[in-house]
Amino acid sequence: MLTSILAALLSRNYTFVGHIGITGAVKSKNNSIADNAVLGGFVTVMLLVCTAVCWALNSFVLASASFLAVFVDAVIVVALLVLCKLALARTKLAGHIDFIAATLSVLILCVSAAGSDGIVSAIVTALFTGIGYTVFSIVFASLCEKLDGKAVPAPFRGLPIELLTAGMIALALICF
Amino acid sequence: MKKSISSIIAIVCLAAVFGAAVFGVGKLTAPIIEKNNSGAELAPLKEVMPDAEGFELIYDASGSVNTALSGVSAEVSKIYRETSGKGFAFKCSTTSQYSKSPLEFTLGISMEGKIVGVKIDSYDETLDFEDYPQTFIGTDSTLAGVTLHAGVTFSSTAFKNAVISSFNALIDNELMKAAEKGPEQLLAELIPTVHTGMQNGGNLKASEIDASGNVVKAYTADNGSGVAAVVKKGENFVLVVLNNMGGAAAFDVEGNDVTADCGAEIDEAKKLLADNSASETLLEKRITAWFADASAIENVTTSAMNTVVSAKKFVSEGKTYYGFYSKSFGFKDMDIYYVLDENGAISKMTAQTFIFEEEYFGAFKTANPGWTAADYVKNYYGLNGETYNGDSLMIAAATMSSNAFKTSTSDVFAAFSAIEGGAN
Amino acid sequence: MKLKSFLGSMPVFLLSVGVGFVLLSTATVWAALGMSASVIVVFVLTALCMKLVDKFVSAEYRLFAAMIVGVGFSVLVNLLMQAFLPAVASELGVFAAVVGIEAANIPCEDKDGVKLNTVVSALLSGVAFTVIAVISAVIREILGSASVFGVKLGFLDSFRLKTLAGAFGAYVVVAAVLACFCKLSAPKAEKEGK
Repeated sequence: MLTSILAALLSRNYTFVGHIGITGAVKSKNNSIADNAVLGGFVTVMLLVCTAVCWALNSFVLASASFLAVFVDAVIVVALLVLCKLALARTKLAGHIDFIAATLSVLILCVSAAGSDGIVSAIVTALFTGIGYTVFSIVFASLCEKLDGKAVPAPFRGLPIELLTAGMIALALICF
Repeated sequence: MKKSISSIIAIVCLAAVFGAAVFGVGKLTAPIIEKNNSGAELAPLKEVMPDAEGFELIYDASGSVNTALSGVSAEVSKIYRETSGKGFAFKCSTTSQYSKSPLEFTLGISMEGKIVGVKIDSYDETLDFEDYPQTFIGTDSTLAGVTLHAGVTFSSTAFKNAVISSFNALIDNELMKAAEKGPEQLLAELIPTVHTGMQNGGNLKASEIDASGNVVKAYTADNGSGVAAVVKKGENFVLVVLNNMGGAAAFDVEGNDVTADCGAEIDEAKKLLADNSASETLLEKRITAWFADASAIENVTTSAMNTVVSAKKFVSEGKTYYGFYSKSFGFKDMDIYYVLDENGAISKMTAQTFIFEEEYFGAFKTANPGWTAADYVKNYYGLNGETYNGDSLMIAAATMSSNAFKTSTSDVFAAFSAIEGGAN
Repeated sequence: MKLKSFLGSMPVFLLSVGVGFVLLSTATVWAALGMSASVIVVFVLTALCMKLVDKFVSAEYRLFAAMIVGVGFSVLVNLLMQAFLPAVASELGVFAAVVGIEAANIPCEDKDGVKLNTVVSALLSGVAFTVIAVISAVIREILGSASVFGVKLGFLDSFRLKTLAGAFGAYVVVAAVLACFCKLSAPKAEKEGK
């Protein structure tokens, strides 16, 4: 169990090492730490709920029609996002829902559809994937903030230097 | 709100339409995908049994199929039966001492009990292992003629044991009869037992040499400690083993000592002995280095069949001594020299190369401050065949080197005891 | 759309397709080609379908509808690839089935703010993905794995940089390729350092 936790958090971090959801981290680089923390928390909750529902569906309902699993999981993710949007329509968090739908829904879908040996393992992986995304997207945003635009050569400004920064984080995580 | 509801209904309809489309396409393509997947899984099996029509999984170590097979060794992961009765295919996974990851391979065995194909699926070591598996093709469960691959001993031992386990899985479950070993193979397998200088850890450490006349098969020890030959004697065969110090012995297929009846066969095998003058010269130089006044240096005959490659008798300060040169197998091949007094107690000892490196001996050096290799050797002085306890001088973390010392020391004492005419 | 404008808009298209898929697809050239074909087909079909669906779905919920349509098409394409192109499908794994979720992000304008037809934008996103992914995959496979199109290049085996074949290598190579395109698309004055 400890190995799975450390893998989900560090060496097999979905976002920076697995590349899934890196778009979300790149697009949220200008957010404040608090904003990124709230966003990360939201993603973690969504991951937990979607993983639990998808695991139950995939294991018991779709066992004989596994080709439907990915599509049904995607419908579950979209349905939950729509429900959240309806519930939080008049709050400040509505923007987060749209952002998650646009950039991080692929992370939620991949983790939910991944499948595992049991519900506990799936939940633990989802929880620590969310925590891993939150922590390292904050680290990434802090690093990008310190990038001096003038010191970066013109062709590398923008997405290229951000990718290199994300690569440095990935390199550090792989060492675990 | 109305717009939200109509949007949500539209999304639900989209989900239903696409869900139905995915379901339909999934059902249509499921048989094709199933065929592709089983083809991908079975492709390596076809490589070891090209004329196979199909395979049926009859055993899976993970328990994914109900199986009637029992007692299958852990090295065998999966067993497939070829559907048209051509034989069996095996997926094996084994680890060897010091290897980082498992050695995985696929094996094909025909209904006649012969290996028809071998393919290495995963082998992470840097050492060259390429052609070794191909030497198994055509052999049956006796694995006659298959030796270990020099330089990759651990991996080739693990590989050979996994192949034996595959055969045993079929034999023990009565899917195939065990092949019978011929007398030549039975006698060849006796060699490690009757000439311990030609083996290490039960594995033969010898190379096959040209045989002629009544000599059917002959081997020379890798360390130069002697020769073993399978010789035809009338309708039967005997195993003749020789050392380089005039010792000879003969054994029949049951392992009985038949030396007295095999004079002609022993003489024929003696022609295969290589020139031992190099070892004799080295031993003599060592003796004169230790004993400047050594005189009457002469070879002695001993019947011990072990790692001793040369034995001499000499006189120094009026006393008789016996010098021995042993070549045992440690981390590297070891060259160890001994001088015993006339009572068989060690008077001098040294090794050509001490494989005593700091990284293996850290704990020992910490427990024994100021320890050096010379100190280790002095522990042996004065010991004889009765007082020597092989295990007391072992060094943990340098097991291979100290095992080699243990072997050589025991062998030297045995050679001393077996000197022809007895030691003076 | 002019070539320079397209090259300069590469990062915009890439962020819409999902940088993660670009990074994932550059391990081997076959994976890059397979994923590129999948992305182009799925994105164009999604854009065409959304033109019909737009009448029934408000702007607020368009994103979610596009996600359903995108995933639907990508799962269909993935099933067909598994049936008829199994070698390519096995290289792509589950990611070929989920790439469609990014079809919801097809940009409506390029980096200069020029409005684009969604179908054209979908096609350009796919082409941008293809160009970056294939060039990066060629570099990564040759220098990182000493092979090309799965064929081992023995003479390069002792020169290969294993790091390039890993996760970090993907970031480095894609960043470098993007930077090259940005340099090519830079205005002349900027290129001359004025």
